[in-house]
Amino acid sequence: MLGAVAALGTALLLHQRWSAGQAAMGRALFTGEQALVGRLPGHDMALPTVATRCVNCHEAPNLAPAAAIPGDVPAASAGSGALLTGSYAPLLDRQALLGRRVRRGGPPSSYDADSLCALLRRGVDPALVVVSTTMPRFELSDGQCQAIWRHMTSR
Amino acid sequence: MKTCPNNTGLSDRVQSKPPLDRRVQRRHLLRSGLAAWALLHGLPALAAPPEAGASLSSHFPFGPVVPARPLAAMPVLTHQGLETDLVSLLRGRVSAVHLMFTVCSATCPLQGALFAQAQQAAADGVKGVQFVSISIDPLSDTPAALQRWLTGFQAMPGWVAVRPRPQDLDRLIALLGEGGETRPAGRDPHTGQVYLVDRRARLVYRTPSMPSVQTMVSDLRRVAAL
Repeated sequence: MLGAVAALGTALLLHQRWSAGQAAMGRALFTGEQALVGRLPGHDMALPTVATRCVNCHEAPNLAPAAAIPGDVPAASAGSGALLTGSYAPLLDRQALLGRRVRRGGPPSSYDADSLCALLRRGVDPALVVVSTTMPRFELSDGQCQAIWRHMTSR
Repeated sequence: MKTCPNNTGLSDRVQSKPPLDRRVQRRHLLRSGLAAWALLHGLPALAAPPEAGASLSSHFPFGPVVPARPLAAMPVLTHQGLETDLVSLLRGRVSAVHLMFTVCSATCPLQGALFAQAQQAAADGVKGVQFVSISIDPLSDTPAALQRWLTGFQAMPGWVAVRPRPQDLDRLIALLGEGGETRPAGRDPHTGQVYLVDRRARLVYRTPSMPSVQTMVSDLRRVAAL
């Protein structure tokens, strides 16, 4: 009996460590610390990491030029750009992914790990709506997909 | 890290099914794009306007700019800190031009990466071509910031980044963009289009947003042959 409990505890511990490792790897892929291979749809050449990291659009503050329109210079932001919205593209967390929502005009849908992978690889969302052509399509292993899923749904 | 929007944002906004007139407009757009492509490839029969009286320059979001549009002389400051004039910078070379700003991290890194790849691809066989990144954030983009941006993409000689004066920005954006893709609403007025300028500093062609490297280089080659 004691042995079974110990084995179960060890298994749980190992699983927790594995999950944490997966989430950390997902975070590294999400931020670009670990390179992702991606291309714009219809393009042959792979993009550099600076252009493929998820945080570029899904986390960074969305800024406009300080003076895109002459005379329209927000005093608080001159020299650093004006804040437009929270981010260029939707923030991706557990609530955003697992919640059943209307996305891009399609029927209500929610993500699971497989549908997120399909979107990352082919640019098609769970409601079979194609996402923007400015989002790269990625070459991902199943492990990388799972890692990104774990990262996004762990926050 | 900062981002910039354009008209192809990834938002999850609720949208209704496009109405019929939108679909008709899309069909028209497709016909127009095919005609533009045909014109550029020297197939005038295919390039005939889809409707009587339609004008290339007023109906095509991308494609040839007919008649070629001379760009205006205006002072610009380069990433090397040199003051020059836009027309002087463009004259004598075929130029691929795009609009960007250095603190933009959503679409501008894509634009920079595509220019870097196109510059490498064009180095094999397209002579007298230069790449010009024009900042739409002249208050923030110092020569040093422009230099850092270029360095981030391993820009080679022949790729210059410039900033116009703030008071010239609207005129410049209008010259390049009028008749092209719809400018995004808000303060960021730039798209991912590439503007091709001939040796006489005239805008002669606009690509679709985020063109492939192959497309960009083959279009540059055609402009170089004009």
